[in-house]
Amino acid sequence: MRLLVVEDDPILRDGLDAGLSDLGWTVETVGSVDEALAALRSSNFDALVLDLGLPDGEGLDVLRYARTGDIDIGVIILTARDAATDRIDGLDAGADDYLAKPFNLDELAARLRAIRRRLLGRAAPMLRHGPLVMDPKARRAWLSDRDLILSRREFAVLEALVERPVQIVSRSRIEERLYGWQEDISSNAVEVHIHHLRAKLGPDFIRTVRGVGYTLS
Amino acid sequence: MRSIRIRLFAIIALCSALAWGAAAVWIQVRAASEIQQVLDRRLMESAQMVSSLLQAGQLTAADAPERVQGMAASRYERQLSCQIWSLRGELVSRSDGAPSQRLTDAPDGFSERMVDGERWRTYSVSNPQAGVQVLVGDKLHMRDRLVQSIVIGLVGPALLGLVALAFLIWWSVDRGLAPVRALTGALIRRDVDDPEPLPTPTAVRELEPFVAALNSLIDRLAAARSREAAFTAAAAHELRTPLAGLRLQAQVAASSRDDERRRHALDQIIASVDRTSTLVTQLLELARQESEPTVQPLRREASLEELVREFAEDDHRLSFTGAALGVRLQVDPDRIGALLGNVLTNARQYADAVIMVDFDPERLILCFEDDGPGVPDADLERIGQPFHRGRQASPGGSGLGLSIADAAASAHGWRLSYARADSGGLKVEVMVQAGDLSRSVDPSDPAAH
Repeated sequence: MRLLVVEDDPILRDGLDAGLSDLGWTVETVGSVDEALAALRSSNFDALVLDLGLPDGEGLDVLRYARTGDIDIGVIILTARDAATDRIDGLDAGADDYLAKPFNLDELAARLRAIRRRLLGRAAPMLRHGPLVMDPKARRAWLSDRDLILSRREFAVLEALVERPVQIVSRSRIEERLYGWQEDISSNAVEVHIHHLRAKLGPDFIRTVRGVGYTLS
Repeated sequence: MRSIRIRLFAIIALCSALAWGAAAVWIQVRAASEIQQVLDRRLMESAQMVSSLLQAGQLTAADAPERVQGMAASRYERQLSCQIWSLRGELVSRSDGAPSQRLTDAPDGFSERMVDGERWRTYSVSNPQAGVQVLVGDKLHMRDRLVQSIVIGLVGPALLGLVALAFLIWWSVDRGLAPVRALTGALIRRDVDDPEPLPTPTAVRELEPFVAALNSLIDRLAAARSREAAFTAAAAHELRTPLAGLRLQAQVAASSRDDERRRHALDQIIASVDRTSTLVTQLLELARQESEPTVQPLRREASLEELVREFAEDDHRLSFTGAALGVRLQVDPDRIGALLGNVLTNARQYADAVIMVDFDPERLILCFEDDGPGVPDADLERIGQPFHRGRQASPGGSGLGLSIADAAASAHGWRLSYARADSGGLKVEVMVQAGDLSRSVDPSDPAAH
């Protein structure tokens, strides 16, 4: 899952970056409304972690932008204010959830996973496709009840495909999910991960749609 | 008298009683003189009638006094006494109750005399043809009793009327004060947090200024309350955010398997604790500057240059105009630090090459200008508000410095305002009290020093 964190406090932003990256997600962080809007315009994110009071405007402006376009993105608001109106305004402006500061990192992660599930229209915490079962929380996978040993990135690629089993997922979309802005990506990185996954799942589990991307068979 | 009702009642009742009393006196005087005239005429008519009857022979001198009493129609007239004297001075006859002593020796007409210890008023008429003098008189105290009874007949009901009037006045004053009572009730029932003004126009015009004053007070209270609420919300935000950062970094440090990441998280925790404690210190300083609004009597006199150099730690970018160099100030040492320290810290943070210190002797304004990026015009009004940070804010700032400076200036009786400097940077203006400028140097003379 690829996250955009919008938070102006540098230490909290750094903590969110470190904590959420540790959970295996790709995290981008920005500290202002302008940077957040620029990030949303230029690439795709699965979820947005949004602080409300930003130096150059209100976090709700970012939320409104995210909701006007046709962006499929889960949004959780971090608020330090007591007033219920802030939470109500946030939810009414299209946020999926909110969390009051200070918060527990594990709770934030659980809520992000829940938002993701709702967005994809499923209730069960486990991802299933045929004999494959994936646990996004524990980051483990089983094939026909056998433990499947996957690297962090292999797990992310497979998760991207299993989340939307009938869709074709483009290579660039997968790359975005795997790598942050600062990371160098070799041109065939995704192919390498797919190759390793096929070795573990069997050659026919992932199908290549030439010139478009990948899907599950 | 602290009650308007009692005060009004007393004034109105007193005035009514005075007017009423004056009327009663006037009635008494008028009635008495009218009655005297009427009774005098009665005396005269009776005497002349008796005299003319005697002359016509229709009446004998012996019968005449009875006749006078016989024609009396009222109790009073029966008190009339009649004497008939021969011209030689013998008493011919007299009515019942008339004294035997002569009622008057005066010639014809009205006269008064004491007879048997009583004062009599008598009309006498001489009739030479009948050879008699007719005297008709009455006792003056009878007259007075008559006047008294008439006056009592008039004033008695008036006194009753006065009592009724008192009740009417009391009731009217009470009715008249009903709008005041209604207003009091509305104020008592009012919710403390109710920001709505009292309804205007009021039922009575006289209360309008009072209600307007109350409404302005309510407005100011509501504004203060909302400022306080905004401050509390902002303070909660400012404290919870670093707490959230602390908690998160601690969680990362506790769970991360990567040594590098753990060390970084611990460094961040230390930085965050330092920043949060600075914030708490500043919050307390702001509360202190705001809650002790009076300047301590302990004053210190110093030159502006000395003070600025002290609180700017002798920053090499400081530059003083001639006018500024001549200024000496009487300052509260506690306030001036909070004021200059924060204004100069801010200037030093953003200044590029110069921090200009100037003084305007006409407007009594100390001026601190930096040549930094400045503040957008739209933000100029807000930079003094707690927790407001500009777009180019330094990450370490709490957003409280200028608020503390503002509170310290107010406590000193000075005023802080912000403008855009010619260089594009921020210009902080401090309007000082004339009394705080030291007299030893004429501040209007830039050549001084």
